[in-house]
Amino acid sequence: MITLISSDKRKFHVLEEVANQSLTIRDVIEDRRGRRRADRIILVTNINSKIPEKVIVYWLRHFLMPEEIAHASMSHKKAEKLKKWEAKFFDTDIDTLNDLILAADSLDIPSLFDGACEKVSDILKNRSAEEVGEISKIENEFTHEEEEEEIPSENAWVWRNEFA
Amino acid sequence: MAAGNRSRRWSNLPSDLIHLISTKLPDLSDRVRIRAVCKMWKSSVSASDPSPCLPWFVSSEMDGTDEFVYYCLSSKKTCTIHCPQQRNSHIHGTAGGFILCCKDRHTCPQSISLFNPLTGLEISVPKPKESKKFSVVSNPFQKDLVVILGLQDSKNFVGLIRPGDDAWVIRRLDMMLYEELCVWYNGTCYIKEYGIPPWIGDATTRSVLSTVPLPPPPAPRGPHPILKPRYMLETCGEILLIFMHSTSICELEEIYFSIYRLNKMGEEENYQWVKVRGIGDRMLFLDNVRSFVLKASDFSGFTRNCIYFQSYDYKRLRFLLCRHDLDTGTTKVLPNFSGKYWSTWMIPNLSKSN
Repeated sequence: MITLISSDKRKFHVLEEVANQSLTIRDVIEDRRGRRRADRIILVTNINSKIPEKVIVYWLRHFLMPEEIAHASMSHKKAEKLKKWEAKFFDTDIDTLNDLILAADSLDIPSLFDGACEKVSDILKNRSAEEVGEISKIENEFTHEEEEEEIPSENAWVWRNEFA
Repeated sequence: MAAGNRSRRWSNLPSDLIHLISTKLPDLSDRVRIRAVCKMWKSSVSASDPSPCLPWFVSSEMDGTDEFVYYCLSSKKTCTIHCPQQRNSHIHGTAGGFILCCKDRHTCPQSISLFNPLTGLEISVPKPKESKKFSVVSNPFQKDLVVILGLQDSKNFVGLIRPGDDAWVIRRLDMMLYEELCVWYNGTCYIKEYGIPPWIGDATTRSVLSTVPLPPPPAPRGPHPILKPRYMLETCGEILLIFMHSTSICELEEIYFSIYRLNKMGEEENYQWVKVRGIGDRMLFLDNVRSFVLKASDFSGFTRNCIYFQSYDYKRLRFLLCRHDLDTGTTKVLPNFSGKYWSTWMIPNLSKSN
């Protein structure tokens, strides 16, 4: 059993085999093997407690269905089921997805990272730049000239067809 | 406060992560829009990223116009690109983001050029001396343009040209070539049907490596069976042969596909066609002549084991773009498609150079 501690000091106990899905944690455990029990505590300081919860849920679901099986011999039905589950898992607000991407990046969990990125790109696709700005709450800091001249001329075909 | 936090969150996402998210956007136009969100995103998202993007189905009028229309599979919309410099041009094929445009008449083109409708870059291509008729066979990913020249008099040439080349590389062939039934594989090898039996040969030496009978065409179904074009393509080292057939010319529900894979038997050059039930995690794209596949898992929201192809609605007299699901055997018409006469798949490319 290892213990993860989030930025808001909450503790999460996870089976080593489950947490091994994070390549970062796996390396840390490998490095500290044979040491004292206290060393099985890992600080994940860059993420708040809501995210480890989600990450652990994701781990558990995937732990029951290891990657190798997912690719090679998993039946079509099981694959569909996992896909449905993932769709539901990633069906969350864009800020949580942002945190999940950061967590998956720092903990090095490739499948979680890909899944979250895919969901974000799903949200962003087929939208105008203004809509994307609104969703992600990013201030567009382009100057008036850039906005009027440079961007539209860069790829006139996109703007001309904008949701006509 | 909350709003402040949120805005910081998204613009704080590291540049390389923004880049990775953008590579998951299946359509090129989405990547262009993302670049217009803010400065950081603009610098993180490359307009000419090589990561896979969805092909567009581009078309032009039968008598040539100054606009091309393209259909985007991701947004399911038809868009128009005005290209005044391409007045009276026809689409004759695509290669590496370029459209092979022939001005004026299709039978005797006045000038040929490779044109990127997104960047406006136009590279003129010398007119091949050997023939006035030609048909592009290379797949849209290839930068080389492989063209079958002259489909008359049994005198055929294979021409190869790259954007920027001064002259064609021409190879003469002493037999008819059916453009939909030859495959360029590993650079030199191609397979074709030539009388009976069809053979597998070497394109450079023209030596016959093996002969392999084609599988019998699927048994006719229904009162008015129609065998549509056959396609042959190479994917992941496999050679696939696709028969498209239907029981009646108008009914989309009655379209079937039979897929065969060429299997090499033992060490010798012995081959055999094996019928396969599906194409797994792949999407197959067909136009009049060409066929190619993409991995469905590279594109979020797209499903595997399906075929995109063009059809014609004889009742309403219009072109259709359809998707056939090999899992369920059903065909659906894609919405908002309005294609024109000359049409083909292209891989959009924003790169400013050739």
